Amino acid sequence: MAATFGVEAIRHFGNARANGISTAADLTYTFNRSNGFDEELRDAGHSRAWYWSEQDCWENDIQDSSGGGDDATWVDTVDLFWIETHGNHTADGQARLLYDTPQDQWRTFSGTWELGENWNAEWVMAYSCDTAPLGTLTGLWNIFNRLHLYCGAWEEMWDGITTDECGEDVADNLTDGDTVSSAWIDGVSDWYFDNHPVVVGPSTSQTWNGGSVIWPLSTHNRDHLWGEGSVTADLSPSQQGCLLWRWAEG
Amino acid sequence: MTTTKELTEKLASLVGDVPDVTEVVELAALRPEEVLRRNEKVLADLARTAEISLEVDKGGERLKERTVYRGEDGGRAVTFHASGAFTLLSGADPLDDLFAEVAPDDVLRKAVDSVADQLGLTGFVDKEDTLAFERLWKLKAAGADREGKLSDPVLTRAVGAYRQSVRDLPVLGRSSASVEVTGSGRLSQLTVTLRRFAGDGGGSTLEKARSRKPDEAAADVAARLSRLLGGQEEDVVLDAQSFAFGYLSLGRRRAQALLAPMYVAAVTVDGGPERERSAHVIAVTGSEQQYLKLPTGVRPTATPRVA
Repeated sequence: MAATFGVEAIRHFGNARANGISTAADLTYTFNRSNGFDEELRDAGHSRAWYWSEQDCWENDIQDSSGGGDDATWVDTVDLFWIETHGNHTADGQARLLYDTPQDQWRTFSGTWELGENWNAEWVMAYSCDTAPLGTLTGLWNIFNRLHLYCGAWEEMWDGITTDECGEDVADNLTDGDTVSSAWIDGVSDWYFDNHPVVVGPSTSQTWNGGSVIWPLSTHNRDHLWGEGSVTADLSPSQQGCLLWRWAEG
Repeated sequence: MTTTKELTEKLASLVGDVPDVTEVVELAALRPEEVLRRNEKVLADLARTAEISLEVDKGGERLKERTVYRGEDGGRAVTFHASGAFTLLSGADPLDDLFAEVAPDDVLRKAVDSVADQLGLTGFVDKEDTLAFERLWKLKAAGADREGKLSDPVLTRAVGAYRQSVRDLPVLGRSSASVEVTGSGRLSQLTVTLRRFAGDGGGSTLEKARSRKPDEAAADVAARLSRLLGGQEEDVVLDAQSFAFGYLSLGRRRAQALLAPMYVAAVTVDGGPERERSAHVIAVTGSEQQYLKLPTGVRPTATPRVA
């Protein structure tokens, strides 16, 4: 069984700057990473649903359809969604991502996401700074409506000559059979600059075990890309007893 | 909020001593078949030492840029054809064999160094080069329940990163080697990304290059950031995190003919709490003449979106 995936990647933010929305810098190696991620997954037999770039990436692609977005057509129709843009977070722990065109908004806030549902999304990977700070991770809980894992960063993620192959590395790790959480943490880490990877996702009360977490049962330990190993069952919100996270720090 | 002049001065203050002249060093040019032959022998020895079930001599799956070897118990090795870099994984589940406690850094340092010694890590470089510990990394896990009760963080893995030096200069880029160990002190993952591997040959001095002054290189970095910001650098806070002089190793999927002096800067951009943050690693040539062509940002292979 192969996975389906979607890719959105933004390198230039001149439109957002010109409109006074953001002071975000352009990036350099965005498409080195997103092209590499796309190519390696397709070479391994996985199926790309779409790959949008620059101003073809829209805020409402990830916003829940019940709130006026269109995730039922885009992000919630694929198993794995890779996005690369600038990020940040709100004080209550919502992830925030910047777009270079207002379709409908310039920024998405994770309070408007609700992924999994009756659709498809299992994993979201955001190569963006600071979308999931360690102190407010439970602010992401609403996005997991059968979504398995959110892979992001708890502080900066670096754009540079030591991280230009991260997209290929993550994809290769996935198709070599690593767990999704390991594929992300290892794939975006060069063990030189601190990319602050973090992976967040719900597990059951049985796994929580009153706070003495049975880690081998966690989604972080068991979830692989479709066709590359075992995948845990979807958890509806009522089945989620805890939110777990795994991270690297230097 | 930060001028290019201020950024230039901050960067230049971080770099330390820079030699007036740096040798440009030839690297051995190995064909993929030679790389595979070399690594298969090394990986077989390493797997045996680390008690990882992996029969490398049976051959691997040759892909476009890598060859992947798989063992019966989930062990795996990968060789990158262009650079000769390799990885070795034990196949241990990532959240099995955890540490009993979040041990102090000096204890973890001993744990990673001990495994590095068992594997003979320093023997991977020629005698005139060095491979030394650079930084300790920790992989951790924690959680919360619906009522907001937090679990105690657990330490899942410790990672030691090591840096190769050639002619007394660090070879900058991703770590030259990393050793990841489990709670019981077993190897879970090894990565080796050396541009000069023991016995490969090469190493002759191609040229003696006059180094650029740090402030001149720092001004290049600041100018590049200014372009990325559309000239609006004074609307953000630019924080110079590091500025290093040394050789540079390109990615694992790239061949490289020589080591040449470079400056590598790490700068964060903060637009404030309501706007965005970003982090940029920028390399500029470290000599008056440029010897090493750096990878550039590519165009997307995306398709145009029809509304």
